[in-house]
Amino acid sequence: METIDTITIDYQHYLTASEIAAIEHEASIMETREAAGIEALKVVQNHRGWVSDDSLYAISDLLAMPVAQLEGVATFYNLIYRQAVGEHVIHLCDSIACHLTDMNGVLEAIKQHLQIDYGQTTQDGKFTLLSNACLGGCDKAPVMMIGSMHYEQLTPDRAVEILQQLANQELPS
Amino acid sequence: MTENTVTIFIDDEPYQVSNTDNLLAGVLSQKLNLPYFCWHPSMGSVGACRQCAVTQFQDENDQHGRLVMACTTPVTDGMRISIKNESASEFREQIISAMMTNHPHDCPVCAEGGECHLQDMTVMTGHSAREYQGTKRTFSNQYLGELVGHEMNRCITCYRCTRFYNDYAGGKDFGVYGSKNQVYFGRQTDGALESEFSGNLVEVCPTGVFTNKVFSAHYTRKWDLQSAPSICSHCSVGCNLSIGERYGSVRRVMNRYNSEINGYFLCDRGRFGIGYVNSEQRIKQVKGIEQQSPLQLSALDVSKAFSHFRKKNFLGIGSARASLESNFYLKNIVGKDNFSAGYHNDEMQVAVQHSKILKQCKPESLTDIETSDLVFIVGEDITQTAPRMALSVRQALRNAAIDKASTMGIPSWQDSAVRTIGGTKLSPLFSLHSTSTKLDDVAEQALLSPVARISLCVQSLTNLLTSLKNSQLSHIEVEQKLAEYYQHQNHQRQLNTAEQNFVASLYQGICRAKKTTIITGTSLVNAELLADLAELVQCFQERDDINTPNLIVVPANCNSVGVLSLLDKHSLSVEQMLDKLPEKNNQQQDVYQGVIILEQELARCSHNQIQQLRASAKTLIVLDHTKQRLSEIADIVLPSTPVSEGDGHYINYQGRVQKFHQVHPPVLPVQESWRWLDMVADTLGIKVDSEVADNVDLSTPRNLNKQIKHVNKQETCQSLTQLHHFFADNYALWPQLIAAKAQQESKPVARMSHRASGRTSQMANIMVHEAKTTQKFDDSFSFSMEGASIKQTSDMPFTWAPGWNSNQSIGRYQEHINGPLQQQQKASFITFSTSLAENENWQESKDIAVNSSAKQNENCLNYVQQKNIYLSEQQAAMTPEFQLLKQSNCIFINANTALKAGVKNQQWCKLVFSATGENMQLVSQSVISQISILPNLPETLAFGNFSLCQSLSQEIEMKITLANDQEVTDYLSSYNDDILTAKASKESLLTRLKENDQTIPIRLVSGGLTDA
Repeated sequence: METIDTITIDYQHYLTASEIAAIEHEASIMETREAAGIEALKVVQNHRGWVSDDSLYAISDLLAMPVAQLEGVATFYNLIYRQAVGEHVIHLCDSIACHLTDMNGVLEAIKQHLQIDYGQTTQDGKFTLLSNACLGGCDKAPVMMIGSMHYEQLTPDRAVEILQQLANQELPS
Repeated sequence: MTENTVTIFIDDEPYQVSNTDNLLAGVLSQKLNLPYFCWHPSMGSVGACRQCAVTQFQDENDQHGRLVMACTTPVTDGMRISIKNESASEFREQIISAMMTNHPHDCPVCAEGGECHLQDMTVMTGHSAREYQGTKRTFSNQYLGELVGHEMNRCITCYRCTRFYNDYAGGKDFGVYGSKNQVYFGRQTDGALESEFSGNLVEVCPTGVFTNKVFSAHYTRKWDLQSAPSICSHCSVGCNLSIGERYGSVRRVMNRYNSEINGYFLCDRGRFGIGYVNSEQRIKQVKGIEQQSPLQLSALDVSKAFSHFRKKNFLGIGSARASLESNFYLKNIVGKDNFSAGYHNDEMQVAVQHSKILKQCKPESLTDIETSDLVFIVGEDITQTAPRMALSVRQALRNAAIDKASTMGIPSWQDSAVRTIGGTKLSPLFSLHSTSTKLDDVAEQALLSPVARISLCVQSLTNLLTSLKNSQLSHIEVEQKLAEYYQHQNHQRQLNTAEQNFVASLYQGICRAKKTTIITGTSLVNAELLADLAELVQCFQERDDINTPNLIVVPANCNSVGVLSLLDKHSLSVEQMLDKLPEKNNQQQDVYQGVIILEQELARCSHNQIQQLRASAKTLIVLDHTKQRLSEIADIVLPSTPVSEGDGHYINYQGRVQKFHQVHPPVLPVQESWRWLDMVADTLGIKVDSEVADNVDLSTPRNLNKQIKHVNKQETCQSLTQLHHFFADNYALWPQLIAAKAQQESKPVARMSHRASGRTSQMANIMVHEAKTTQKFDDSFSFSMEGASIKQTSDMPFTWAPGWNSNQSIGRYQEHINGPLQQQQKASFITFSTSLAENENWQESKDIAVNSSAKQNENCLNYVQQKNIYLSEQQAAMTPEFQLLKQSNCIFINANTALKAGVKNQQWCKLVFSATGENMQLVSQSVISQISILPNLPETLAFGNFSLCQSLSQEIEMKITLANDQEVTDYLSSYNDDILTAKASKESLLTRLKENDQTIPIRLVSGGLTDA
């Protein structure tokens, strides 16, 4: 029969102590354990860069919630990554204001510079390029977001410059 | 609909509408057309699809109005709305237009085509042109198991599937993923849907995302099906079904609305378990009767064969899955002293208690269960044995949240608001059983106990209720009282901490509850438990401050209660029957010629008992529709009909009398059991009690040697109606209600839709003439597209209304939304006598239970087999798709037991069960099984998914050792072989059915053998 074996991941073996502690803290301040789902996904993503299938099963085990429900939360939010991403994730805004202010030029320059398309990661694992529906900076369009930073009033040259700076930055260890 | 009725104006016309429901329900109740997707009559409103927009006006001077969603708008007195208003109708058209941008328009290859709610609503809005030029989003589909197909591209994101699967039915393995234009409904990974109610997705989905996989494999359009109103033959709830057939094979089962029972939903056993009627194992020929003509068996052949038996006595074994008529007939052919229901001694004791309870109080309907605010389920896993009832229990648990919302002014139909306010708040459910059940997750307390302890808990609750007159005591005080009662008892009769806590909480819950429902069943085969529960309910009557709960007993089969109504003090158990038969090689005069076995496989009989039966019965006559171990060893086999090919009545758990109608005529010589018995009766004669009504006067002592009149039947009964008249004329005991109800002088209702296609060419491979419609005597339905409209009857063969091709058309036939059908007749219920209880053989003996628990051995435990929705009912278990769902062996044991044996969770072990006591059938049995450790399981209890030939109350010794690799490999390969066999039989069945489509025989008359 074409069934797929149920995957059970024991959270205690999979998650680190600090992850478990952080998630337990979130769960303790919520009305129900599953309400901590979104925070738990963020915790794991902060530690591991993205949320793998195994991470998902481990969180669902820890919070005693159905994995289908947690997957619904994880896939709803575009800032939870369910696939491996690079060190820096570029969210380039493709809403109407950015289109009017030459977001396409910026996009082409980034693609050219990194040699990747939307949804791809550079070979060195530094950058992933994603589109984003409106970052809320229409008055300073075009806009992109990398990590927690918004970069506004971009030009093709400035965008490349920012990426070069980031690439040269040492990771704070 | 009286004090809540208000006047509203729809397009300036006044209408009387209930203000307890939303505007959409009000509009639809008036039989007006207003399109919708996300709203569902029993799931309420969420306002997700924006399809039911109407214009609401401030007052009669307001010309402009504003758009509102009818499903989220309450009905208020004097409100003015417009459906026809241009802005509203244009809005609705645009909504469809937007949905259609992603819909694939693959209607020709979609199983939903022709009964698609999306098609209906699209036409209703007037959207008729495809204007979108862009690309459509596409998805990959998932494998969701053998029952439900998945085609996500068709999705219009109405959210009904998840609202049903997760919110309504409590499923956990289904979800919604993504956002915006990329919303996906399905499981987290591929795999079979785990819910027992997954099949409802097929009807809940307004289009073809979820389809009936079995139906799709051998597909026909809805309008080409020949359907008849039927009753589910798989459990005692008696859900109403519409069974659809084409070219001689049953294609599918759909829900048939009944406001008091199943409403809009069925369980998967009911929907997909019909597969057995197409099985390869069906008996199609008689055995043991000499046939004169090579072409056909004639009635003369049968009477010749039976002429040897004239004036001979037979024993008769009826069955809880055969119709009431067949059982009644058999009882009167063999005589009541020679009749058995196929029950063993312990089952007879249970039957006594069950009939006493039914005599005392009438169990409530599923709709009534949904109004309870406390449910206590004891000794039955209803999710597996009466699944539709478990779905109703889940709705009852929502009452706490609905009450909370109503205090805040939120009506119950505001589904998402009520669920948000309610959060995890549930009305209390207490579960007390020997196996874990799916309802444990939503239970306030779920306690696992062996059956003797369950009884003890019930008894102590009774004690509390009779002795404590104060319902305001705190939990600790109640527990103290409990401890006091039992301090002088011996250790075995004392409650442990968990039990004490459970009973005390339950007592407090019951004191607070406005309406308590107690549900139990017969699957533990324990008469003491039923007696204790009856006593519990009795003692409520002495308490003025607490409402008396309703007690529901769930028996095993579709007609268990029907058979129960036929049992009397003369009825025999299987053991007694075997004793009556002469020993092998006994030369004494044979009292009995043999045994007539009606649709019964005697599943609980040991191999030895079956051999004894074979050896001691001179003639073994079996009537059944499918091959089984008794039909293999019988001298005469008479092929009978399953539910789809015959007429008859089943009595549900409440005693509700329900008729199932023939969907299509069987291929001769297959005919209903009662027709065979009618022919047999012509030769054997029937026995009519001269002392008329057995249960009229119970006070006078009866003469044991009473006269039994032999009646020689003159004519064959041609129809069920004739049979009922014959019964009614001869037997005071025959329930008159059926005979009175059966007569209806009206034009028969068509079994086919008036759009049935290919009517003139259906039989072209056999003859080019248009075949005459099959005639049937006294039938209230015709085998044709011609006949009265389905509107004429509450027993609708299928549902359809102009503009409404899907099952949602049922709203057109309800008095009001969720109300009874317009033609609904008052349900009839059967009455019970206590005659069975007069037989002293079946008096419960409490000593047995006490004794067995007293000599408790440390290594002994109770093993209980878990019930399974797919495989626990014999008929449904023959469906190949269900056999594919068989799980490998698994046993749940206590942590200490595992520790002692040195085994860990999920390890494969070899279990050796051996019996120590007397009267044990089981000597020693070894099973290879995976271990699951359950912390809260008592040490004296284990349960698993495999069967042991041992009775439930017996304690057995279990030795656990780790299985070696060879043993595990051998077991798994035999398990895989079973799965492969089921897969092969599924495929060969499909091939055969498709071939048969080309060669259906023509039957001009659907009577019995004598019809042509």
